[in-house]
Amino acid sequence: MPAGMEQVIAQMRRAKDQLAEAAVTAMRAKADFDEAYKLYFQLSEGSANPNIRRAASEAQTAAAKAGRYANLLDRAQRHYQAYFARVAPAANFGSPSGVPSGEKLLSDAGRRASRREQFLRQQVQKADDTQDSLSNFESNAKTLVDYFKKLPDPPGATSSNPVKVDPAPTTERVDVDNPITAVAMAAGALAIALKATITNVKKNRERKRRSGNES
Amino acid sequence: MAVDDIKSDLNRARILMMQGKAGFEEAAETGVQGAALALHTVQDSADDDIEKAAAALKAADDEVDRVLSRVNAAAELADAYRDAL
Repeated sequence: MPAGMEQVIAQMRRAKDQLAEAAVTAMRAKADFDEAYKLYFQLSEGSANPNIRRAASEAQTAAAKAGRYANLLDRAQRHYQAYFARVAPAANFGSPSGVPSGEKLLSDAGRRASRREQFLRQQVQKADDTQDSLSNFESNAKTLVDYFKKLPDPPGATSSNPVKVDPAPTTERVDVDNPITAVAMAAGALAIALKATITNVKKNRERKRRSGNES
Repeated sequence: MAVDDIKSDLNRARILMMQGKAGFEEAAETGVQGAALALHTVQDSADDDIEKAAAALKAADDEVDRVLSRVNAAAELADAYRDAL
């Protein structure tokens, strides 16, 4: 597996863990909203006051939407899993442990050779399709590092920057006769084209601040 | 139902709603980090799975504000109900 793809897989595992954790936490919140709804609903049964009926309705919708949030995160994870099963089957992205066992790696070794060739072709094709992936690879990688410096460290993160791409030798050799092909593979695999999702993080901070003032 | 019993239930419900709100905010915080990381790491507009994953993450993000506003509305309505008791 090329170094670029290893980096992608490592980052995506972290993303997958975060999305899974968020989904579980959201479902716990949903359970709280459901319990509150039951109380509001029981109270509304013996009351002519429309407010408690509406409170029950709002709590019920909050619970449904929290559940939908968790389901959407799960759906996103499943699509990423399907994607990596196609483009990098050897990476075992969908394996529960996150780290394929030695036995699994051995049994995969035979299949991997042909898949690697297919994967290489796909990635080179993708790199060709992405107009700036080759020429801007280095600057884009730097932008990516800058972006992640802005993100708060996840719990248990080491001080080393997880996005820094070291030209470390890969343990698995990939046979490429042309060095530019190797770069194309890395660029294609990373598919770096930064968009403004940073605003998502900022939006979240602002929301957190707002809701913090309210409660 | 005695007013004290009603108030007791309302307090329990309020605690549940606030606990749920704090938990959901935590979920949203973790979720937005995971989403940003995923969206930045893999981008392929020609791939159906990647596009669907991105769409799901966007739709999830849209739900966050809706959940929180519903929670706040429920709490306010329940408060109004209690004040009228």
